[in-house]
Amino acid sequence: MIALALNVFMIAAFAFTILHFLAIAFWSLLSLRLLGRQRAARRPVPLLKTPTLENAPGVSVILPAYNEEAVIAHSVANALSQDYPKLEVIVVNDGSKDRTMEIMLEAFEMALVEENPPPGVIHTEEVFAIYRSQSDSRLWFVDKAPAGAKADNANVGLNLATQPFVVVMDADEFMETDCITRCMVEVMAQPDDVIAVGTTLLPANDIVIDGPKIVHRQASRNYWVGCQLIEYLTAFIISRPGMAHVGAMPIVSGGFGLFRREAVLKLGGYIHDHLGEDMDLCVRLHRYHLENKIPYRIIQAPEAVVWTEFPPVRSTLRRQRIRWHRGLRMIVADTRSLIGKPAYGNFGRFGVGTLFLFEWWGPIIEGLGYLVMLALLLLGWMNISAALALFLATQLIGQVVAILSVSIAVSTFGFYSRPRDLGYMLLWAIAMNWGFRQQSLFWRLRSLLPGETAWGEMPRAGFKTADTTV
Amino acid sequence: MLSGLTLTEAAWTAAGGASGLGALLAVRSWFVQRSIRRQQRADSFAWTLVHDAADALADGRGTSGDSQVISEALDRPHNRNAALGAVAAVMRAHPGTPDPALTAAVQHSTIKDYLRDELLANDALRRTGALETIEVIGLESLIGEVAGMIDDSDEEVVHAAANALVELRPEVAVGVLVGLAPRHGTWVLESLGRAADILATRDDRRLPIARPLWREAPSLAERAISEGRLPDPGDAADAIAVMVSLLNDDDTNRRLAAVNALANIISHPGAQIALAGAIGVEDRITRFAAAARMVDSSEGRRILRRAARSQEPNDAAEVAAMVLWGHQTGSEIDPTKPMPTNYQGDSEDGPSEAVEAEVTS
Repeated sequence: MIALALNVFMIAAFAFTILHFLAIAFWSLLSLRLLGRQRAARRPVPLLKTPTLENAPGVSVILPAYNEEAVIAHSVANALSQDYPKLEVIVVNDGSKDRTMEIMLEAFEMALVEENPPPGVIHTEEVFAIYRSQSDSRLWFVDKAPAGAKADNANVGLNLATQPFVVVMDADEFMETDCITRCMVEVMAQPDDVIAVGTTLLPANDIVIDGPKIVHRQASRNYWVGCQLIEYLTAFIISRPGMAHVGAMPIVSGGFGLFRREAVLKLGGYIHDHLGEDMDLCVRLHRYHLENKIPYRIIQAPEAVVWTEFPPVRSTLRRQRIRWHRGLRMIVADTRSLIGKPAYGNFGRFGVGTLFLFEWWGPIIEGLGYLVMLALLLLGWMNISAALALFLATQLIGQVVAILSVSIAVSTFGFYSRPRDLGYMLLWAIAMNWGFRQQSLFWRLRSLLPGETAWGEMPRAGFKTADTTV
Repeated sequence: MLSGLTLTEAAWTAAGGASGLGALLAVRSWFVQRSIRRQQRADSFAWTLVHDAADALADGRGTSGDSQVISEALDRPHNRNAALGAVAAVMRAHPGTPDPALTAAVQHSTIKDYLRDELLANDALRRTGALETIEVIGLESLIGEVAGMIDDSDEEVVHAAANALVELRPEVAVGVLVGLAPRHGTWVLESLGRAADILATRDDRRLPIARPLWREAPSLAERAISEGRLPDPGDAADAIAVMVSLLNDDDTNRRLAAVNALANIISHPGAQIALAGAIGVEDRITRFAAAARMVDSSEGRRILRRAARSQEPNDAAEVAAMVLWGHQTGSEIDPTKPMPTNYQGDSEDGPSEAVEAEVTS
């Protein structure tokens, strides 16, 4: 009887894992259909519509910075070189202990504008001084008391931003030159409704830059970065466009998010000390608009690309994943009551529902499935052939979904165009199911136990520049 | 004990199927990537060829051979997008009236027929794409079809049609957009602002359509097209009148859009008067938005200085003083001094007489 119960549970656990893959495959096919239609219909020239964009709403780019001396000059130059015509850049220094501030003041000829300005709309740590660049008047630098949280820095930027749209990103990121334009083209198509836009994040570990431009892109040769690349492709260009299409996208990545400033201010900005401040903000935006019956759209612009440094070693990745999952569990705990309520529509049904089912319960069920299978084998209550078949079937179906992500990425976007890059991506799509996924599952289970919640130090390698790689 | 052969077999079959499917997808990805690379090479070649030819024609050094290159490239379906992109890039690089030879080369191709078919497509995205293409390459011969799209059921198509009209014939766009303003989003005001901006710089002002007919403009346009003529044109004053009426709209987005649109045509005296009034309106958001947009232009700063020097304390003086103070660059600001409540800065030429009268009143 016990054996039967355990067998049934194990089969259910594997079926659940396969269901998760099938859900991703469903979003993939929906996204593929949308992307295919968009590309077929709009390939010609929309980005050349500069007269339309000249009168488009302005964008404030907020770059929170803490100990970013390795990358800050490149990141700021990159932000200033965006081809979007109406732009300001606000760098918020969270009491960096390295040369971040000196580099900013010297490289961009910053001049003091104001000391100890009055508090803004959102409560933040004290702002010491505001500087403005004398070489480029679009650039501002804010020095503030350390808060140790990106949320506080982003809120300072939100207080000071003067444009109707804000981009909140990390200082260790590098945008494609047309990134903001591509986001705003989507916003301008429905300017009254769009309140947030997400983009595609790809690894900056293997790009080469020359000044503010990217001159070389290649798929990573590092196992950990390569597996994350496949994960990110699946999330950003496979799942999210489909989810956004039905109004269920639960997160605009903290790596890069474009928001209508007024909408974020209404919610009081980012919440301090939240482990998943990006997802929390997105969920609150959904809730506020749905509860007040205000039309809105949160969309994904998969062709807008931002390159960010992925953790290249296991220890850093482990800390990141444990923290992410703790943040996610906090949010699901707050929002699971929305599932199925008619007022929350597809967001409650698919957005929160997916998080609850596959992210909250998923690791527990999948982890228990593996444990039960092991126990059944040790007790001799299951033959090895059946166990192997079930395990292989689950792994290989996951592999198909990963290869499908690569296939869609190649056929619709062409982020990496060389055959060698395709080879590496296929290699990582296969390899990630044999080690990385199980490791990730373990970290997600580890996040259920109490422990350290701080980010910890992530060593920055900085960007590879053309002159150093020649 | 799990010894059900059927389940085991099913699992092995699923594993085998998944392996096969994965392998097929991988091979397909390789072929797709190769095909994309080939297409990119072909597109790159066509783009360069057409760009050089179009550039030569736009510079007035082109030959009939260049025209032929453009026409033929536009006729080839597999190179059409690249050729269109190249023509558009050249047209953007040479603002103003496009060179007649370049326009003729485009007209001689079958691109008109292709775009006409696209405008009739069932897919809204294809219709939008065609309208964007017409807008960018300035294909005036399709203006009738474009004007007809403003009654489309899809908002994005209407938006694209309005943008195309603004580029092709701004006076027609004003006539149409004033009718759309009450029913559509803030993009109408943005398009209206651009059309007014173009018209405001022209001398050949046209008679406006009668205000009571604004609401009916789309249907009038449709009727006019069915009768083989274009809709009644409007002028910059029509556009400004719509924007002014929306400065007191209940919807914040529309008020701000009206401010933006007015700020974009601030060289027009009507817009200056409207903005001078906007910095004194009751709504605080509109007041600050107007002042913030005005400070970006010399005309706007003159109006703000005038308002800020008002002897009577009022909302307009306060917002003007604050915005002007905040606009100063680092070297001009003494951080040890408190922010002024009234602007005491340098004096420049005052605003135009009409504006001065408005502000004073």
